[in-house]
Amino acid sequence: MSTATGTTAPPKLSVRDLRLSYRSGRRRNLALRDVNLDVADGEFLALVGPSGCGKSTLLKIVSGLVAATAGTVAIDGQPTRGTPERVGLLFQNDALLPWRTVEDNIRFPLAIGGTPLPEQRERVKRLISAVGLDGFGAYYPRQLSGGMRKRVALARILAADPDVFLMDEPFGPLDAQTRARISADFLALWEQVGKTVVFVTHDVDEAILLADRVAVMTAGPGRVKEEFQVDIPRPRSIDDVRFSAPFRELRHRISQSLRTEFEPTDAGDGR
Amino acid sequence: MPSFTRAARGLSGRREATSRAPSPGAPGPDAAGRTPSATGPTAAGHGRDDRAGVSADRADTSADRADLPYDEADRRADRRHRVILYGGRVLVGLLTLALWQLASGRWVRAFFISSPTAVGGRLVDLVTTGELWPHLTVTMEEFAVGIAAGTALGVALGLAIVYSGIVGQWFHPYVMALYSLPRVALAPLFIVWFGIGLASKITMIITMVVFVVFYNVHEGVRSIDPDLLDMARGHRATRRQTLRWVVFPALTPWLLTGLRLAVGLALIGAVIAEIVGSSAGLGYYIKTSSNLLDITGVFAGLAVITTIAMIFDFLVGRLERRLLRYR
Ligand SMILES: Nc1ncnc2c1ncn2[C@@H]1O[C@H](COP(=O)(O)OP(=O)(O)OP(=O)(O)O)[C@@H](O)[C@H]1O
Ligand SMILES: [Mg+2]
Repeated sequence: MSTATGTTAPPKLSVRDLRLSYRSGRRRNLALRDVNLDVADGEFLALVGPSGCGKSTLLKIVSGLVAATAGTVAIDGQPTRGTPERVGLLFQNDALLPWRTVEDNIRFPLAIGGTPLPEQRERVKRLISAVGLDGFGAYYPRQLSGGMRKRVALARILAADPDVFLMDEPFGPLDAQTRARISADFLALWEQVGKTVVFVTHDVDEAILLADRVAVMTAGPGRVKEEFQVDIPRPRSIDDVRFSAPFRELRHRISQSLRTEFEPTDAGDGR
Repeated sequence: MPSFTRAARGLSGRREATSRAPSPGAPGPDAAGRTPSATGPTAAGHGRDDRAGVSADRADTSADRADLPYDEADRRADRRHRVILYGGRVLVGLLTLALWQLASGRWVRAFFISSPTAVGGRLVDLVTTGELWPHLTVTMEEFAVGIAAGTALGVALGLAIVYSGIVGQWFHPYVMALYSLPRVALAPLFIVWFGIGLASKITMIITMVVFVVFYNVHEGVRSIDPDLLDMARGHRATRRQTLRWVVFPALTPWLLTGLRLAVGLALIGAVIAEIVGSSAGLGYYIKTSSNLLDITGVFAGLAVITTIAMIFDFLVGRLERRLLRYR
C-alpha cells in the first residue's frame, strides 16, 4: 500500500494550476481555478465537494474529454495530450449504450481495442461474475435497475483495465444499502488490483471508508482546499471501520471543512 | 479529427420553424404524429394504436420478458382487447363503404362518386385482364429507386452537414430554403429536363424524400447523448467505431421515422410526376381515367396507391419493432 508521501518517482497523476472556464453565451464561466492535486501510484483518492464545484469537470479534463483553459495534467510525469491511454472514466450517469446488451456494453472497450472476439467473450463472462450480474448478460440497460446499471459501468471500466480509474459518483443515486454493498464489492476488487483511483463522491462516510486520502474542494469555481490522510489499515471491513474512533474523528473534520463551503453559496449550486 | 461531440453541439439551438413541418401540400401518412419530438424520437411503433392497448394492459411485452409466466386471464384479456380493436376497425371501414354505396346513385349521381362495388369490380378487371401490371411495375420501380436514392442522399447530406463543421453551417440555410420550395411545382420542370421516362420520376421522388430524411438525420445526430460520444472518445474509438457503436444506433429511430414519412412522400412524388407527364404508371392511369371522366378508374387507381402505402408502412413498422427492441 503506497501513500502520497515518501515516493521519489513522479506521482502517477499530477494536476498543476488547472483552470477551466466554460463559455456560456457571451460570458465565460469559471468552473475550476488553479486546481493542484497529486495522486501516487496505487493510491485511492476520494474527492468531495459541493455540487457544481467542478468535480466532474476535473475528471473530464484528466481523461482528455474537456480541454483545460490553463494548467497541466501529467501521468507518470508526462504531460497528457488528447485522451490518455491509461486513464478510464466512469461517468456520473452510466453512459451505457441503450441499444447494446450488458455483454456488449462491457465488451465495448475490448472491441475498440481490437481484442479477438473469443477472448472478449471470455473476459466479459468473468467480469459479469465479478460485478455480480450473472444471468443478465443478454439484458438491455433499460431492463436493469439503477444499481445494476452502475455495476455494468463498473465492469466496463474494469474491462478497459486502465492504470488510473476516475470514478464520478459511481454509486451516487443508489439507496444506502445497495451503495454500501457495491462499494464493499468495489473495495474488495480494488484491494486485489491496487490501481490508482480518483473517486468523486458526495458521501463523506463513503470517502473515508474507501480512500487513502480525501481531498475537499471549495464551492465553485473549485479548488482543492484541504486534504486528509486516512490512516485506517486495510483490508477494511466497512462495518467495523464505521464505528471506530479514528473514523469518527476524521468524519468530523472533513464535514467541518465541507460545511464552510456549503454555507455561502447555497443558491449557486447545481446546474 | 473533428470531434463528434463538438460537431453535434456546434449546431445546437439552430431550429428553423419551417423545418419542423412536413412539406406543404405533401404530408406523409399522419406526418405530425410521427415526427420525432425535440427530446428524442418517439418510437413510432410504440405510438401506434394497434399496440397501444396491448402495452397499456401489460407494461412490457418485449421479447426478453416473454418467457415470464403469462397466465390465462391475461391472455384472455389480450384476446378480447384485440377482437374489440380490430373488430371496431373493420366495422368503421365497412360502414364507410356502406354509406358510400348507399349515397351513390341515391343522394349523389353515381357518375360523380362511383361506388364501392364499381371500384371493386374495376380492380378485379384490372387484375384479371392484366392491365394493372404494367402500371404497377412502372410506379413501383420509380418508387423503389427513388426512395433508395433519396434516403441515401438524405443520410449523406445530414451527416455531411453535421460533421463538416463551419462548412456545413454555410450550406444549412440553403438546404432548409430548398425544403420549403413547393416541390410539386417542379414536376413540369423535371419533365422538361429529363423527359417523360424514369429519370424525371426518380428526380421528383428524390426531391420529395431527401429533405425529411436529411432533417431527421440532422436532428438525430444533434440529439445523441454527448456522454455516449465522450465515452467512446474516452476509449479512443476511431471515427468508424464511433459511427458503428454510437451514431448509427442512435440514429436508427430517426431514420425509421424518416423512412415512414418518405414512403408516403415518394408515392405522392411518383404519382404527381406521372400525372404531369408519362406514358405508364398508376398516376398515368388515374390521369387518363379522369380525362375520360371515368371516376371509377380514378378511385381504382387511388385504391391501389393507398394499398401500396399501407403495405410499406406496415413493413417499416415491423422493421422498427425489430430494430428498436431494446427500448
Ligand atoms: N458542458 C458544460 N457547459 C457549460 N458549463 C458547464 C458544463 N458542464 C459543467 N458546467 C458548469 O461547470 C460547473 C461545474 O460543473 P461540474 O459538473 O463539474 O460540477 P460537479 O462538481 O461535478 O457537480 P455535481 O456534484 O453536482 O456533479 C457548474 O457550474 C456547471 O454549471
Ligand atoms: Mg458531477
